[in-house]
Amino acid sequence: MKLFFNRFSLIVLFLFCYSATNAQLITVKGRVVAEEGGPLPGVSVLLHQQGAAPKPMAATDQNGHFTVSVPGNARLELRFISFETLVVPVNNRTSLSIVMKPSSTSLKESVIVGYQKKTRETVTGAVTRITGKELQDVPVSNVEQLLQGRVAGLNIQQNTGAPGFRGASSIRGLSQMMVNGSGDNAYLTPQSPLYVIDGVPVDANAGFEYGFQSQGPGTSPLSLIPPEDIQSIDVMKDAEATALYGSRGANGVIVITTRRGQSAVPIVRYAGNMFINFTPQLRSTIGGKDERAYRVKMIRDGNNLSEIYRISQTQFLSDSLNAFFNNSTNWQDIYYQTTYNHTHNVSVSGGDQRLNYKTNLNYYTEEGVVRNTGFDRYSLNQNVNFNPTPRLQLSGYLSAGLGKKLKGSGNGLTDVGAGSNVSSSLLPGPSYFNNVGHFTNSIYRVNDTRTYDIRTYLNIMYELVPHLQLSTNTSYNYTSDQEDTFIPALANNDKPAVYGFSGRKSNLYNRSSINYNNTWKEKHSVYASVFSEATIVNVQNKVINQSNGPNDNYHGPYGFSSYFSSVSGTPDAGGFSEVHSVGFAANLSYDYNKKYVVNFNYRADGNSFAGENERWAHSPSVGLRWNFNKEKLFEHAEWLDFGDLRFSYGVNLRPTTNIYASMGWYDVKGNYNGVTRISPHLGQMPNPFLLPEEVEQFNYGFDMSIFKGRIGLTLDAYTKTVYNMLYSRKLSTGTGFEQTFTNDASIYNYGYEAMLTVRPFKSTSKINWTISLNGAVNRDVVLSLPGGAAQLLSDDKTIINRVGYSATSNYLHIYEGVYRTNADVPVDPITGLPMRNEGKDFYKGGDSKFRDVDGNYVLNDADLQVAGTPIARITGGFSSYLTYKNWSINLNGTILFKRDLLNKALAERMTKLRDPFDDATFVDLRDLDYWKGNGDVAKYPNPFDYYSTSDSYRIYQTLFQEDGSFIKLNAVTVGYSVDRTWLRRFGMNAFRMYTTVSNPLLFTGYSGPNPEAVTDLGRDRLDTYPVARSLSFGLNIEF
Amino acid sequence: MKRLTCIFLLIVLALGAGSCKKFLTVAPPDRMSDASFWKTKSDVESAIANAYGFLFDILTNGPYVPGNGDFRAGEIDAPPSFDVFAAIAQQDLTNKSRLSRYNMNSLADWYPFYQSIAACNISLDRIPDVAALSDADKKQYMAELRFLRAFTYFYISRIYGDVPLYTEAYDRRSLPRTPMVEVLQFCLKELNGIREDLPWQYDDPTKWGVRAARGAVYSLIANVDMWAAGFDKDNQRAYWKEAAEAIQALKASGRFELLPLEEWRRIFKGRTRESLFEFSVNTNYGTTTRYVSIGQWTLHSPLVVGYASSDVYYSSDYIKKIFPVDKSDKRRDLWFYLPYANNNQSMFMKYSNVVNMITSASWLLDDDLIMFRYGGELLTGAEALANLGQEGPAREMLNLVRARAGTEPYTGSGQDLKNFIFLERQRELIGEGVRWYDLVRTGRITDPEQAKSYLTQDQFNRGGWTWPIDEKARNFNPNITLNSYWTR
Repeated sequence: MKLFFNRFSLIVLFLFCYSATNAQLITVKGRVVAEEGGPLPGVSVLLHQQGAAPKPMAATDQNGHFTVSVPGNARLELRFISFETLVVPVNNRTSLSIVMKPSSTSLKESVIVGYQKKTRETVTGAVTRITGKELQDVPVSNVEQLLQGRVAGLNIQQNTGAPGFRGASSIRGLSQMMVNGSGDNAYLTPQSPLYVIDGVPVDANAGFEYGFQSQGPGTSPLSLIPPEDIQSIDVMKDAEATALYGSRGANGVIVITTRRGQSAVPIVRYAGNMFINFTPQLRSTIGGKDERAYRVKMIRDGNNLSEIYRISQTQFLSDSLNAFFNNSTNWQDIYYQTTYNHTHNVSVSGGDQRLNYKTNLNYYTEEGVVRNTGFDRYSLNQNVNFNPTPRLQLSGYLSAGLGKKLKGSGNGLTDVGAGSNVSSSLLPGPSYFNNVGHFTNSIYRVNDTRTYDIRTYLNIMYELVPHLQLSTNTSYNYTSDQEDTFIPALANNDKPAVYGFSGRKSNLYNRSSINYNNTWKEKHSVYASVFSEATIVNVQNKVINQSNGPNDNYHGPYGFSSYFSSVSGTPDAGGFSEVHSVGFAANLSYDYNKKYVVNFNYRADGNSFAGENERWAHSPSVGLRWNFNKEKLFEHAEWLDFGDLRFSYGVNLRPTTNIYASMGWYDVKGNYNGVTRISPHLGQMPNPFLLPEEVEQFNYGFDMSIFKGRIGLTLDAYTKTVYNMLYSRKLSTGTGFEQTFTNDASIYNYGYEAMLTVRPFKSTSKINWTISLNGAVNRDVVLSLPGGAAQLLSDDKTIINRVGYSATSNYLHIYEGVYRTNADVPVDPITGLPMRNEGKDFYKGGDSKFRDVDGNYVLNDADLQVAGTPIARITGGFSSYLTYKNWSINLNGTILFKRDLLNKALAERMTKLRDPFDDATFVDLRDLDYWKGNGDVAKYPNPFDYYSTSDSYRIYQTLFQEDGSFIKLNAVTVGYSVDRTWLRRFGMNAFRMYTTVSNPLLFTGYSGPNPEAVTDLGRDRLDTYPVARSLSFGLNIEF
Repeated sequence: MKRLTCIFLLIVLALGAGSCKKFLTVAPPDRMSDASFWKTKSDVESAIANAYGFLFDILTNGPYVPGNGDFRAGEIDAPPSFDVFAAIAQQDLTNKSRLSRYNMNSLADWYPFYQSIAACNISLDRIPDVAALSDADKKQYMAELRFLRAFTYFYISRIYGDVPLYTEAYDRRSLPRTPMVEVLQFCLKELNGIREDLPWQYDDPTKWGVRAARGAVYSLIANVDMWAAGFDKDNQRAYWKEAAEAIQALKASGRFELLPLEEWRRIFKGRTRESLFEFSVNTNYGTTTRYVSIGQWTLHSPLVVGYASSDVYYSSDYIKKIFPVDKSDKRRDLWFYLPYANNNQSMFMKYSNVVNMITSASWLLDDDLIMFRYGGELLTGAEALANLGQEGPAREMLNLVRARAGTEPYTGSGQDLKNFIFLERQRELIGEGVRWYDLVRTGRITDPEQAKSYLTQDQFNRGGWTWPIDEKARNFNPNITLNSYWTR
């Protein structure tokens, strides 16, 4: 703390010491019109300064007029979205008439890299920009969903349809390969990119430290940002672009910039949406009479008299005349609903060069397709920019958000009751007289879950002497997570339960920098900056769990009885933490006539939770760019708009784990002989030598735009190696510990990314059509594993990391069909025993034929093989924007190829099928090709042989591994803008109506409902929250 | 202006470099870590209490002390409802289902002992740097910890034979098993290093026996020596000599006495002049145990509530052998009820400090878990002296114990004397978890006349005397081999 205040006060001191001198100013009036068409309102007018960043002065009013006071020799820069930026010399004129052309290339647009605005021409790294306009028409609860399929190499997987939750995201393949949890709950260590919202780094992982056992609301700060308020999003992929964001940027960086006031005349915008979520495709089951017939046939086919006799003892099978057991309940249907939702956004913005402001008010409400789930967002964002003198800029920001969630019976990511729908259709559905625990739990659970998020910042920039600027940015974010859940007695075995979660997280951040820029002889431009960063993050999460309260009228803690009730406290992981970090960075860029660009970056990061002996991480990087279109050779090549080659190399280091991994901790263990015992915690051995993980990337890039922007192409090739990867290493019992974290693993990713933009029509045409396609191929290879191991298994031997193979591969028994008859089962010539599992579980006709890899006629762990990998190799997307007169049709989609999924849902349901006496749901088998009798050649083993011990329907076999490739249309929007001249009568500036269909189509060969809604390890859970299809009607009005 | 900029830059850099280190040192906010622990004397006291407590926890997790010490020798008859004890007596030690009662199957897992060793190793590493301690305090605490670590190694050597030797803090290597004699020699080296560091006995009587003092160190030296002598036969005499000297010094210190046998309940309650080393079981201090002390199964009403008969009893053949019917012995008379009955009406009452006598579910045995006491160690000394041929001093020690038991002095010599001392140990230490180890180290385990659960010489050589080691020990450690006798 002391650190920043010292620095802060120094800067303030300078502000007062130095008195600015101003040159002679003249008043300039101007009008801006489009090349074809009328005046342009809202065009930013900036004062162009040699060597310094252009300073915003004004914005045009609704008639395109503006007025500024500038020196007589000034140069004005005019910027407007989708128009070419223009620089106009004033030359002591007091009236200007300016014509702006629609932009044909993306070259001149500026992007934000390393906290600096740069024109695209001088960017050496791999950066992709998405403008806010592209994100407007789809109502979503989390902005990240909108990025899906838009950036080559950014893989976003919407693995849950639960409103307000966040899917999995990663940039350029795997950065981590440690698997936490097990079975359905296994998940990869999150590798989410760093989000920087308006210059302030934000942790987008909310509650991810708990994996699927998520505690509390789990609402990501990204869910609290209204998409309507976003000006632009920059996605940075390579090490050079992310270098200045320090260690947290090692997984890539996504920079979100919100809108600002630009117009002298206040602009009021309204955007509203009404949307309908439809019940998704459900899993097929078999019901009613058919189900009973199936069950009885199954038992009778077994020819086992005592089993057949059991039918008469199993009431729901035998008592078919009893109305209670003679139903055909569609269990899935009772959980799902079609919902009607809406969202409203009002923004007011305006101001002049001295003072401008923006206020954005947003309301979003969505009811989930699973009953008793949903998400509401309330948010208010404001920013004010104040330039009291041309040399001093102040900007302030305040954002308050409230996210309210209903989680149902799951933890939001999943929904236990709805997904598993465990009952037989023969049983009656829930009713007044018939309690069904999992239904009651899902529907009548009372859930009040809120996330409050306040983000503020103050940014001060001062030009000390020409070309030298000082700036400081201080921000404070505060997030409070609250959850109160009450589970009624009927839902919880007659034990009313209360769950309370209270969490808070604060983040104090300061960045202070000194920038220098200058241009000599109009050719040599230099930009240099030094900055320091300091962050203090505090987290406190507490949980109270109380079960067995007196009755449903007591929602605790009152009513607690120490004898009957039970309580538990703080979650073990992520309960309390305090992290301090400091970063120092330096950056030097030089360009020669914008033709040759070279960039050097260096950053040092210190972190309080890094290993005590390895506290500092150093990340150097370098980037080169050659804009070859500026060479003499292409001087007269009209067809070439621009072309360049880029190269970058960089190392990013990220400190790992937490303070306990490097320091260990001590537990209080009661007392002995009257003295309190305090013991070192002996589960996790601390490792004070934990090194930061090192991510080394090479990036080779190529950009080209030809025929006045009609065709644009960006290619990138990269290699990304992660060294010193953190891995949990198990220890021998003799050490007294169970495990420790070490830095022994490393992984290599390489890949290619391409983005192609085509505009089939001329920019002057009435039809404006932009088609863009992007794709990325990524392969990963494990280079080394802890302790020099050749392979390591995790999640109970179902996932393998083997040196030389893809990381986190599935480790499965190889399924090779079904034994047609008993005679097909191979027999060990030595023992005379047929193929078997360990023990006496012999195989017979109709059982799975697994590959006996070691040829010992026993199927066990030794026969497991590396099968497929759940990490997608090819990802991409496509989009199309077509406008004709007042009409527009937009669509975008996502492509994913080469990913292996485990259809656990099917496997589990087939397993349940194997007990005909258990009143669980029956899968509809009619379309399954299963073994029906001697000699059958079939895809699936005999599902009815329920007393077989061969375990043919085991989950971890290649039978259930399927290709998860898909092509998905994310959204299609049709819009109509009402003619402007007509609108004037009503005092409106713009009026647009549109309708959007989200998730309309999904092409896949996968047999489950949705190849995307699976865990990040590619496991299709039975209780996954389905992704809904929705239809929305929207309205944008501007006054 | 330029100069001002330079100054500004320098100040920023200087401020940054100076306070960064402090800024980046953050202790975990909700727990104690190395950064916040090891500051005060009471921190160290807590760590020491934990070192004792750890072993206490392990040894009271089940009836491990009588289990491997007494039941295994086979003279205690257990009905089928207490099959776990029969399984132990029958050496059916790899049968996890038979052993599952009272956690006896967990004894195969040496992990808890190594947790205790790891905690000692960490404390030993940290204490020298605790500024709040005086040098004398440090010496005292270090000596206690080294004693405890040596004790743990000695204890697990007797259970598992060869064991991995971890002596450094946070050692994550996957070490192989060290030959047992080397482990014992390490223990002796450690103990000899601290033999003068502790007082003979503490002034504070709550520490008597419960916190290691010099008496405990000397007793452990003697016991390690006697155990090592049984295996390292080439150096037997040196071990015996060291053991004899240790016990003679103990005796000469004059700090220890044999309490009148009539006060035996006080002896086993602990913290007496006879205590050398024991783990404190004390309801008042909140350290209670159940199903640990052998008394749990050998008592019935009126000594405990709700049980008309004992669960297990010493077979009368064995009692007749060590306490002949025609010889007077207060130990038989005071510690046994119907010693020759050979049925569940007989009681073995050595451990009978019963508290909370309210219901059959509430009563607890409050006897300390005695590891070494003066009476037993005099006999260790007598044995060592007799082995060395110093029969006079040997008999003197032996007869001190016999006199307390109100029985006539022994005058024999030669092998008879050695045999008699062995039997005297069985009489004095019956039910104290000693018999099996005495049989093993003296080789008597191979004599069917002397040992009911005897082993052939071949079985003994293959490690039949050890307890099987859980397969878990091989996880993540390819260097570990299990005891071959148990992995047939």
